[in-house]
Amino acid sequence: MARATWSGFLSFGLVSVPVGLFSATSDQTIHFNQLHKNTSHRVRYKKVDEETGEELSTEDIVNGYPLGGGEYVVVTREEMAEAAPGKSELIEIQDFVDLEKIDPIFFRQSYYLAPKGKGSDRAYALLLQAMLETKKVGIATLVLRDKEHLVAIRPADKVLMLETMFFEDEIRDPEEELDSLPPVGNANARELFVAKKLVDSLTDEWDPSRYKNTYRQRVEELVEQKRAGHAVVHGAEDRPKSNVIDLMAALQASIDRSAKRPARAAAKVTASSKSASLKVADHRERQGLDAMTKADLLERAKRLKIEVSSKMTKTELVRAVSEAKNAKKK
Amino acid sequence: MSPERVLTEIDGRELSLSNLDKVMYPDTGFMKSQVLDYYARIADVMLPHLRNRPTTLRRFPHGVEGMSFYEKHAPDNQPDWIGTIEVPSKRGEHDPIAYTAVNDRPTLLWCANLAAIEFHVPLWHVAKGKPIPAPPDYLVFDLDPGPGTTIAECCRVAQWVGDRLGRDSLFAKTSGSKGLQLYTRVQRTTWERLGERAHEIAQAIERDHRNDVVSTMRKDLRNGKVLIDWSQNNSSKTTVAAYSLRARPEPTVSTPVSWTEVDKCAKSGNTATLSFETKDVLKRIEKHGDLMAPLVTTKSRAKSKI
Repeated sequence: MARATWSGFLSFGLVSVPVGLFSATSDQTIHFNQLHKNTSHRVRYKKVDEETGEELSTEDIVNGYPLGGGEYVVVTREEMAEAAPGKSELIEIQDFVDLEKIDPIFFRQSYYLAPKGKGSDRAYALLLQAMLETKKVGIATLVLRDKEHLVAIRPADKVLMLETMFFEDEIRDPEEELDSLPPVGNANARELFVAKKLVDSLTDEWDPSRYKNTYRQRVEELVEQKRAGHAVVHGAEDRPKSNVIDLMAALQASIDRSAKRPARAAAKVTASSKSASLKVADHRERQGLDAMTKADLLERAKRLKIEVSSKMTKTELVRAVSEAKNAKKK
Repeated sequence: MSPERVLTEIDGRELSLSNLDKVMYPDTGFMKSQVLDYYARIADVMLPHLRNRPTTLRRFPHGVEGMSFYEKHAPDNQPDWIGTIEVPSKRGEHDPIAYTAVNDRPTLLWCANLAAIEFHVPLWHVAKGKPIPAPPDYLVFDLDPGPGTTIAECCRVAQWVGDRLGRDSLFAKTSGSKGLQLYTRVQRTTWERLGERAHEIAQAIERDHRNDVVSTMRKDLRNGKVLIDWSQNNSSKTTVAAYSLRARPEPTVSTPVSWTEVDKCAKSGNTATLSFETKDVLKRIEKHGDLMAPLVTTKSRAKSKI
């Protein structure tokens, strides 16, 4: 079973039921990673000081409440924590109301409210049945992730649902938001009759399976086509499925290749073969360059007086610098 | 020429391996493919020591002579089939850390492919119905030879710890570096009590053997003595896992050893008898299996006096 987002007690009147909260919906949006167009490396966000460009860590950052004109009241994390509501252990139903009296605009997100522990089943089932038969929903408040929520507890067929809701002052007034709204209620009787007929003729049972996210399907198809056509940018961990080989065989092949190559220890003993030890040294130096940032490499290139451009990829830079250095040695 | 990346399959998982021919141990020419080969072969006996423990990887992207870093956070590009263990920060000073859960062979190899040479684990494991961190499974003494001493002196100290706690429940392994580590299983105890008990034992042995043992970390007191490092008995500390490679000039391994071997080394002072490289360890396993297996498998038999 999934992990509960919250657990505590649901209480109404004198009864309290231990319950856990589980998300009832899942986001199916396709997520992409951002890549650098030239290198296919992952892109990272960094937080920087807008003026100095200095990179900041979480400890360096405080919240400022804007007063306008570039002035702020600074509020620290500690001060925020003091103002935050305490974690609630209890969903206490304050009122029961009719479901259809709540405009859907108030609903934020749906959770399943599940009974926790065998002993709670009876009280849970009792509350569910009572709410189903009276067609009522319970209104309560709950603190989730440091935020106080208005919630509605509503009975579904087999389970109690918890809907987090907006507070009234979070709902925008349409007349303030929208410029022109026509008056309603004075339609021409004949036109109204025809319009209603049209609505009736299109009326059907609500069937959510009839509606698909066609944009997501098209993106999935696009990704699939590109993969099949091998027009895929290879990230660190994926490649087309062909030429998969047994791991142990791949390792053995590498070990066999190395048998032909002298280790540094061996190279020292047969010291006459200067090229062998040189090769190892080159190899190691190259690895050092690999670890440098592009800026460092550009700087190094400058000192070596070689022509490079900031448009070059890091790999190209490493190659250029290491070749220039070898040329110098010889 | 070696291909830069090669797509392989092991235990039904696909792994894209990189730079297999890269030399990780320049002194011996030991390559990344050999590191992976070792971990693939040792997995069966090593995994019980890692399973369900939030594992810290010590990675050496440029080999053991290059810079290294301890990686606690499971890397971003970790595939979905690898699990993580979320450990909340002790005092809430940072977000929980999602550690890699090295529970199977493909995961072990995936980590090794990231140039993770060393695997470090805490003394507790996650289990259903237990808090995180869970209560301790083991008490550990890390015997660290000070200047002028070797693993042979550590073996003598191990004998004294054995006398005190009973050899049946005490298991020794080399650190794979210079020292020796002693483990004993504990049950139904708290971290606080574990730390206190470990400290007491270390101090008692120090009292009995003033010239040979020290129980404080101070560097200036350690000349010619073995440090009994008891401070690792803490939920947030990690110790190198049994069968982990170490970043030494040679590919040495933290290797479980028998009391007979400890006695012999203490007597002869021949440190070479307790230094094991990958190939030695694989041979030992074939012959004796995992000498530390009773520590992870038996719950009651290896019960200690603590």
